[in-house]
Amino acid sequence: MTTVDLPPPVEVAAPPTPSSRRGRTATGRQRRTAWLMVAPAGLHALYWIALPVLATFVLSVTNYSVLSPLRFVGLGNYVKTFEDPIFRTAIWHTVVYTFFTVPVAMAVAVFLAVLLNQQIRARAWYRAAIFLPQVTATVAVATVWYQIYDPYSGLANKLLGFLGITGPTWIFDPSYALAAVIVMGIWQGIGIKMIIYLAALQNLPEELYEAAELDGANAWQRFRRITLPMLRPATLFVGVVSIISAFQAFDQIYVLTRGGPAHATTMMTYEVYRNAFETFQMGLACAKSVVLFIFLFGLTLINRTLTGGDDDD
Amino acid sequence: MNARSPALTRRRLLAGGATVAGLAALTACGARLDEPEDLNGPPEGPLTLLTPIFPGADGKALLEKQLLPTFLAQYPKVSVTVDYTTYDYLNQKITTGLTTGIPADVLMVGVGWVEPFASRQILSELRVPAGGLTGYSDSVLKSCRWGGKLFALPAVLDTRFGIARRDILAQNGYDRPPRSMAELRDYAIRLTQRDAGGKLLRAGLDVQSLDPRQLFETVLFAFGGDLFRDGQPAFSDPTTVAALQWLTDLQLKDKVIDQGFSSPKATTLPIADGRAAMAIGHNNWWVTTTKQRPGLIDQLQPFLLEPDKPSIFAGGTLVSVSAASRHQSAAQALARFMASPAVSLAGAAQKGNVPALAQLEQSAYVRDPKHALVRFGLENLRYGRGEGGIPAWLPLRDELLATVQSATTGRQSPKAALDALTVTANSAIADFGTS
Repeated sequence: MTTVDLPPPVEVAAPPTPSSRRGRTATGRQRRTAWLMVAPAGLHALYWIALPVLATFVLSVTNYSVLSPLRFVGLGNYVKTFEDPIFRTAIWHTVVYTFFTVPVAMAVAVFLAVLLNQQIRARAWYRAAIFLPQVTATVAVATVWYQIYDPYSGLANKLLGFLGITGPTWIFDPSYALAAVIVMGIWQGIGIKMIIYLAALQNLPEELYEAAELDGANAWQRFRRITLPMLRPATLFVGVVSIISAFQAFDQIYVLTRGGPAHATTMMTYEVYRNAFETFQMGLACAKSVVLFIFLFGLTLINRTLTGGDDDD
Repeated sequence: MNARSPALTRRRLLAGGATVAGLAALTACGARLDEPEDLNGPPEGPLTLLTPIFPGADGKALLEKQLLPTFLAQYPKVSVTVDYTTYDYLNQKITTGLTTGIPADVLMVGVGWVEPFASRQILSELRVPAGGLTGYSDSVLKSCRWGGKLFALPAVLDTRFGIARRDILAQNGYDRPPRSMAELRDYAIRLTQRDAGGKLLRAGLDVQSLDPRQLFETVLFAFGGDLFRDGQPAFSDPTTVAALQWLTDLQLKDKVIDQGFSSPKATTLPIADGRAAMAIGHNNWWVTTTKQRPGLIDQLQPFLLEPDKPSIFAGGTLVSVSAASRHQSAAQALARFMASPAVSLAGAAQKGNVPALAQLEQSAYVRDPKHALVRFGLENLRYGRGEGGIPAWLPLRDELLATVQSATTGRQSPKAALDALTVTANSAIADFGTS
């Protein structure tokens, strides 16, 4: 029986905890420098984001109307918000607008992205053309669409006229006005979605397609079995970001219809604006903003859950 | 120690943030606490003027190069900074001014705005000009007063009434415009032209080129109705319902015009290019007509909708002084200047509007044969009726617009729409208070 002399055990120090490691490596001077460097961004966020958000919450429980002295009204503005039939209509319109603009624009964007990912002539021009609405001021876009929707001389009804169809009066008819706004929303939202999909498509591994081709998969099968599943992360991102953006739709409504006719196109953000600047009911507008904030906060949480949470996870 | 620091910082940050937010909210309403200077002092100090008239580069040049120098020569210790806006953004400008505690010293507002602002001590009571208020129409001055006190002076006016194409009427055997609402409807039906396929070629009466709210008010006043009576809404009154029913029937039943045929945003006027025989229109339509069909300006014939109970819609721009102004004496002097004949005439001429003073009836601008609509507006100011009348008017303006749209597009019957508006109005009045 042989015995082996083992070396004496070496005393190993326990690994430092992350916090103590930070504490030991950063000197006081480094910390001060770090704070100084963060300060501009921090002050900016405090002044332009934190303060307005806090003020909104504070004012939402007051009767603040610009014209009257401030008075605490508890949850009165929230009760009024949900009793207000126009705001309830606005919530419904916002949901309908989102329901139609987001998936339709995403489907068109995927189609265009796949198309413009091929080696075709003037590809860059097509991409730029489709992205153009995204970088054009919405006010300008809405003004052009106002002309398009002119029932008598507008492009929309002229095109329908060629097909023998008598077009509706679009934004002048409460039954069609929201649809008209949705069509414009879809058109305007395609560009950015297409760019995101295009970027995602260019990262898909070629070998998967080669293998599928060798196995005899046709173009549709390759699209359905490879492209679409591989685009899932991009789709989740585009979907949630687009939903949040759709909930904030304002400028196209403001320019195109002013929420009319007869509140047929009013949306949550427009109602907030209307209460704040048209009817001077700032407290009520703040309460409606908080409701909108809760909607968006919920959507953001869903986004974080679906796309994997913190960046450093 | 290190572990506790972040929590402490967060708490401090939150507490600090809440304090600052609270202070911000409180100071937002505290601006009016400043003591104004003595009204009897000499006019001096820097002033700001917020105006929705004098638009564009031409307006700026007119005001700053031609008009204001006269005022500044008279009051050399006063300086004026002008904030230009449009009626679309006037509310926002006033709101942000009041919120930040730095409203303009002199505010130009619309008819219907004095009551809410004066009742909340946003405006200063104005001193009656040395020459008194002679020359201003009583109907317009009514919109400048609140609680028996004067809070504004009229600068330029916007009037609305019937306008007919003289030549189209003549071609169809009419030698005069209609003389009652019933006759107007009859004319409108007979003058409407469609092709074999039913496409509208000529509207009998254009009721779409004006803002629907102001259009309805013009009709309501012609019916002899009121928006409010003794501070209470008169929307469910039979007269108001009859007025909206008349307007709705014209469009949905008589089909004297099709939905979307024209709009307040349209750059051309159907009556100017013969696509409408008559209209309920604005005195400044002569400007568009002159550009669109210069030869036809003589064919526009203004008329009262109901000559037996004459009325026209009289809106306009009024000059007022902010109660928060620290230079009351100078601000009041500027307000009087902005409502003086010279400025009123120049402002009206620039926008094609009606000057506010009767003495300007003899001015070259008003007597110009091309400006028959302006002359008609000025001559009939004694029949002028304005919108508003109660402090809660501002929250109700949009609602009235939506009500009219709701009825004239067939979404609701006029009575149902107006009854709903009455409920909204009662709630707004309760919220805002009637005094």
